[in-house]
Amino acid sequence: MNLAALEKRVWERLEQDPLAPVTPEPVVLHALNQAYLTFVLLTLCLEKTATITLAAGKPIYGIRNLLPDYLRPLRVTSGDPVARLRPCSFRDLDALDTRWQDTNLSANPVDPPSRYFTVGCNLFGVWRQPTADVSADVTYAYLPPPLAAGGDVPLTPEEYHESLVKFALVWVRLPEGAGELAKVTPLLGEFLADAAKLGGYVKARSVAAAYDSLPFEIKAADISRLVKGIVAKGAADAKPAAG
Amino acid sequence: MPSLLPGESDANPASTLIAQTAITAFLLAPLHSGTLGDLVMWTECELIQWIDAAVKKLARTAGIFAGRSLDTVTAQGTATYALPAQHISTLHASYDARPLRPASTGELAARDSKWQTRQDSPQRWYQDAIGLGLIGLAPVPDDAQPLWIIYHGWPQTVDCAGANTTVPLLACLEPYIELEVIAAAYTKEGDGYAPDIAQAARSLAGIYEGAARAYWGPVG
Repeated sequence: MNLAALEKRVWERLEQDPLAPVTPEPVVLHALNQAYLTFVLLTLCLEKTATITLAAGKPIYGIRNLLPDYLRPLRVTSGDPVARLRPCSFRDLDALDTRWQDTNLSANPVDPPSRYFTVGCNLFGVWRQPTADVSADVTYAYLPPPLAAGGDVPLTPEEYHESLVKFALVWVRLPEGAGELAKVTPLLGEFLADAAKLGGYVKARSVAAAYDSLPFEIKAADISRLVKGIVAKGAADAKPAAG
Repeated sequence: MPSLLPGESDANPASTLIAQTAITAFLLAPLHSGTLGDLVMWTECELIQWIDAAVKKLARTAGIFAGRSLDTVTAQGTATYALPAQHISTLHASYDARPLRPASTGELAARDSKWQTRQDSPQRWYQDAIGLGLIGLAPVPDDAQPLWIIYHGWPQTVDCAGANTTVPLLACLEPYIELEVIAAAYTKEGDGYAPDIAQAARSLAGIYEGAARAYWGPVG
């Protein structure tokens, strides 16, 4: 389903004429993009592999400088023969090599990089530092570019495109108060349940592939609590109608 | 080009920065305004302040923003040093490129009654009992060597004066910023007060906080 079709569905669910909608197109477009990126965040369903250069004598990188659409690392390989770099913590690094940050002493002409670490959404490091520039293949969960043109198709699985409509409706109704929001809040539960279902599939596939990151686990109880909380709290706090 | 945090080895490319003006433009519809000039119950500066508050709240909630400070050099006989300006919590410290172990002042006192004055090559770092914004080394350094710190922090403040107008945040977490601003706007006392909308926005924002904590860990 492309963007134009998704927008049309949002307007139809809002009981608006898609040819003369009350809710402006930029608002619906933004809501769909928020749904799209949120779905990707919750499921890590988009992955790609790119090659980066590990520079000689450099232990730490800003990974978003190398991979601007980087979200989470899944697998890192390097060397000839190709070997996998294992994820590690600072404690591991300190135990392996107390000079792991030292750009002069940590490099070793014999041992290629064998570990990597990430901190925050940008810091990425390797141990050992290579003595000469080497390439590394990084498989990572990535963020897609936002939808813009009517013909753009979300890269998430097509069977979940309707989920984007559900979240977009919640996003559009959010500032209209408890009464309107209550009508679409169940759709939020459905959106999260869809994300949990696809996330479960991605998780199983990632475990089988021994990936280093797994999707955020959304529990059914948490979805139920969230949805009920929004409706109940919203209704209780709603301002009485004038008059 | 602004970096994520002071001392970070690589700046963020422009394509990964979110402009504050883009966020405020997205916020106009949920605040029932067509333009910034149409805002009646809120000001543009308030929106910017709430954007900044939301970024800092996220930085305190999940370890998304990390930096590496390479600027500090120890001095012989000086035990404590200023932490980086946007520091929240220390993840790793090293002296002369050798890792230091975290410790409490109680632990240090139990190990050595003269820990506050004995000079040698530092083995441990501590932050308790010396106030905020400082890191202490024990033994007290006996040489001038680099003190490297990897830490969780918050990015540069987005301010109304326009000194910084971008947020180095992942695009998938931008909805969180909008939701937090919507919540703040609708809890402001006045004609715009709508706690039901604010509560719903905060509940939705919790989804992003949960995901961020799951992926990047808690802070502190």
